[in-house]
Amino acid sequence: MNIFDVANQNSNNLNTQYKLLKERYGDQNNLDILSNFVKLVKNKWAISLNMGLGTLNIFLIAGRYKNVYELKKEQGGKLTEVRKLEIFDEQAVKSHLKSYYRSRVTFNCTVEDGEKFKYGALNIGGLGLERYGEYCVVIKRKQLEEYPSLAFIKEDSLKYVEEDSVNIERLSQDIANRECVHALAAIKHEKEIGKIPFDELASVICCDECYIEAITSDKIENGHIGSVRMSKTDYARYFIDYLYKDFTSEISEDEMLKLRMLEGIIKLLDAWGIKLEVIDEDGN
Amino acid sequence: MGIKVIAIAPYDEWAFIEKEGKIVLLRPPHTASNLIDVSEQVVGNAIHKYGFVECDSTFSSMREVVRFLKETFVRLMKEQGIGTPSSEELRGLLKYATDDVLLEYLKKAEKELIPEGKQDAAEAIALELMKLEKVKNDQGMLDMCRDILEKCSQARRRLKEELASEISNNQEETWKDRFPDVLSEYSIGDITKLQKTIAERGQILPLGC
Repeated sequence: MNIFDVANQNSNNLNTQYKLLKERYGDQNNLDILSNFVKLVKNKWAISLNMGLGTLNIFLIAGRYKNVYELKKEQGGKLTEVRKLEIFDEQAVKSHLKSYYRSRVTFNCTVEDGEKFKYGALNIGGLGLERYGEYCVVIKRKQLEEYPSLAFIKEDSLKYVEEDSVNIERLSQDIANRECVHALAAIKHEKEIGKIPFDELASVICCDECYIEAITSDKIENGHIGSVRMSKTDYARYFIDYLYKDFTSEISEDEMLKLRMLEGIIKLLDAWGIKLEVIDEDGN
Repeated sequence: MGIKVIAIAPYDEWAFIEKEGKIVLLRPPHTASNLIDVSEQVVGNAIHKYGFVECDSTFSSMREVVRFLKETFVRLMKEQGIGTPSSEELRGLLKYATDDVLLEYLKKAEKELIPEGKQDAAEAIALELMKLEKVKNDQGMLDMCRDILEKCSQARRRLKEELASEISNNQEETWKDRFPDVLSEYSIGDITKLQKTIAERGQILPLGC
């Protein structure tokens, strides 16, 4: 199954559902609310990738983002080194990881080119997901419009894995190409659109608990990055908690090394003309 | 019952751990309030989408887990030949700091370091910040830096005066108690004179001479 083809084929379905949605909003005299929401998504949609300091460092140094499969192939030796102390039997780990190991493998094996997929999330502003790292890498809209492969899924793709197979029928209904991403977002958030303040929509659409997954098999290169965001809290930890300790001679070795890595990242971002945006808890 | 580490992001010191039957995310600053409950699916995604490394180690306390994360990170950096930066290199990062951060440094220098008697650190902050273009072009911050330097000088002067006064008040008693043999060799007047000189000018001869 080629999910990008499936996304293209689902456009008619999404357009029909969106038309019905508009009628329902029209019946309740709330069409403006829906229109404003859709306009916001159409204007601002991009994808963001959540990552940690280490991943971002590797991404910027290599010049392109590598997914886990690529990283494991290239850095197999090093990863084995990390794991050597902790893992005695690969099979034991897989068994320990239980369902969540199998689900991803099942998904990637069901779809065409699954091993080339890079996963992100629809982002219309804000920090997006924060569970996997301190940084939110936002890809330029212009670049995204040129990616030959880009699909959006209503939920995390793992939610479509049932037992040992992918529920293709459900997935086929919940997937959109870039032209229909606004419809997918409107359908997903139908019940919340009118209830959430407009300036909070970005953090509702893309957060740890709820996001529209974005998938591409295209190369994501340094030049594609529009901005890198981090929370004010994390930023303060590096610049105030860690760096300040250097003046009071209380800084630890790992903190110094973290700062060294951050400095390298900031220099690379500077060289690429990429802005590091610090976002506070209110999304500003 | 131990704490099982399921997956780690070794360069970030992040880990998914299993504690009391729940899976939680542990991330810097590694405090209890930073623990976030997650589902198995999040761990699966962490490994397969976000590059977390599977792990299967058990520790008896959170402190041990945190130590393991820190040591793993340091070891990996060293294996790559990345050494710890010098203070000068670290402070170079300040040029990327936001105004909020710089103001926080100045605030901390004034409200915490000087009252705690850490004039060297407060002075170092003010002098380091004064090198930054951003600060040079901001009269407000520049004034704050100068103010800190002045307060540090005042604090030092005050300390010297206090020390000198303490010496003259307690000289005989202190010397008699602590160094009885010295008084048999030198007059109290000579000792007091030397003490005052040291208090005013600092150590005259290098220690150990």
